[in-house]
Amino acid sequence: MASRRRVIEEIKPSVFKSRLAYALLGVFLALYASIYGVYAVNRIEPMVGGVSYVFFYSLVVWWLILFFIIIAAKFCWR
Amino acid sequence: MVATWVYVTAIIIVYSAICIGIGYIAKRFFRRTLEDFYVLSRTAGLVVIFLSIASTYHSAFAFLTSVAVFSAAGISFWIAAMGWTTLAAIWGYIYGKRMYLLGKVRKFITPADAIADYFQSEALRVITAVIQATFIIAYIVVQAIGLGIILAVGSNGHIPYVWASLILMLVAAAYVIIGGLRAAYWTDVMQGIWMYIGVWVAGAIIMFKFFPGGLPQVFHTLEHLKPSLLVMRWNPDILTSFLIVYSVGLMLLPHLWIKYYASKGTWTIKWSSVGTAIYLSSYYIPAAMVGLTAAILNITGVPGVLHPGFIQSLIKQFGTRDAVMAYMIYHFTPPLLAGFLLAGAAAAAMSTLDSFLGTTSVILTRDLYQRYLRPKASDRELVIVGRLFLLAWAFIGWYLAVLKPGLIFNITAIACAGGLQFLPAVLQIIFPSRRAWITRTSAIVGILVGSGITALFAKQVGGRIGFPIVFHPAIAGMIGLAVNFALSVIIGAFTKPPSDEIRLKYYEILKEA
Repeated sequence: MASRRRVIEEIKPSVFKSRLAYALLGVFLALYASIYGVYAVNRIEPMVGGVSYVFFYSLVVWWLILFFIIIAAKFCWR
Repeated sequence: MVATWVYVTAIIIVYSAICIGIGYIAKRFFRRTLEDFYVLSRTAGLVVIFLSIASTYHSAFAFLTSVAVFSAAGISFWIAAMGWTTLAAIWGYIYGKRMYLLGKVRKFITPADAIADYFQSEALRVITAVIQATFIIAYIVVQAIGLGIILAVGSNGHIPYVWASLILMLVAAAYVIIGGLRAAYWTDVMQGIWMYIGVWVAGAIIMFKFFPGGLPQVFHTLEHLKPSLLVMRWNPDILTSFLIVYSVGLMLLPHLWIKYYASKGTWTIKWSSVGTAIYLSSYYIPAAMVGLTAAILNITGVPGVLHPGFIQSLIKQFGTRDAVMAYMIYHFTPPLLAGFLLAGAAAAAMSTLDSFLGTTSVILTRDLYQRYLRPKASDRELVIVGRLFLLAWAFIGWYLAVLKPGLIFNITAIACAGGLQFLPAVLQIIFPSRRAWITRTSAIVGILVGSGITALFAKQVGGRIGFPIVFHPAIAGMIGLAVNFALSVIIGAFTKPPSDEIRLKYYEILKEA
């Protein structure tokens, strides 16, 4: 029983260590949720930059995901 | 004048010889221990880990089937793939870093080492080893199909698909047998660079040959010929399944899992994850260029070269549309370049195959042979036995590929869906919590039932044995995962949790992660 108490006392569960980590978690959740936004903009016209509207939308989401991965690695990941 | 197929075949042979040569060089560094043979004595740096993970993740799936799916489903593939590739990199960082820390302290070599150690269960070791080795077969089959297509198309049919597949399978087996997984890691570096340059060069040359205006011209043409390829056609349920199965599920397969054990530090894992996200996702841009161009040419044809509906002819010949990329490269790039590009395609398949063969051999050797048949076997004996297992799995994969089981995209999903069934147990291991949500018993039940459901509901497995309700393997994997999670947590509430001692040890190792 003493051992069990020790487990409960010593384990401090925390998936993330900082506020920035939680903020980035929120950003990534929003970005991956926004992939489902393709169903709201799922059309060809108006073409943007010569590509279909929904494809352009997906490119923007992709660039944002990559940008925030780099930010996370630079300032948050250890 | 020398025929194109001679150039292409010769270059693929030279490429194969280089791979075997690297195997010999890697052998000179071999320290004759199991840890060195499989995880490079945990010394792999950023370049090796990054390119090894990236090129292993991208296989015949990326070079061949992505183009095939683009030609059939259009940009739906891109929308899903840019999501699952970046998610794979993020998940790879989160769990890979933790597995690295655990592996370093507790000397893990296989995935089963981690699971059996945390839950203190030899039954889980056997279950993990058997299930992973079984699901891996699907992935080996995929590479065997890809290699067969590449050399058969590259030799213009002079080397039949069956022998083409066997020859290149044996090349990959040979350099791993000679140089161990170190040879696989080193060849991965070369293959990772070769296939990435190859896909971009192929994409640019093929697209601009027919559409000098680039992607805008391709989109404009498709708008009139087949506008359905320019919008999202996959339903949210299949999109969700792909996003999870091809990211989390794939990264939990043992060939990628053990790469994190081989890393020399967390810094390496962090920046290799960033590189992986960029590499994996951007790879599908040129694949889209070729795939969408192929879709147009499939409608219009190319006088004297391609007849309209040529993709249907390829399906008849190979049992799948996966040959589109190889066919386009062969016909629409200069002969010498075609050789380099198809060697790049072979690199994509081999860089994954070698890791799978090596990983299967370590699973069967360490988790089953050494543990239960010959506990006192010397390292030398284990390396020899590992090489025999490796060869056996190569032949099994080749034999199943000869049966032409279908589209690489779907078969890959079976393996990834199998990998996904280890997620509940892995989450319990890498995120220490005050309550043990999953226990030894519940993990065993969850993994067994989840894997069983995945296989049964998968069209390519359950459908073949007459199971009445079948889905795409990715959806089957998600159903399996849902049941797996539910059983793991419910049964976990009533059964004995992992020992406090082991939970504390894991917490100590992971608290700074």
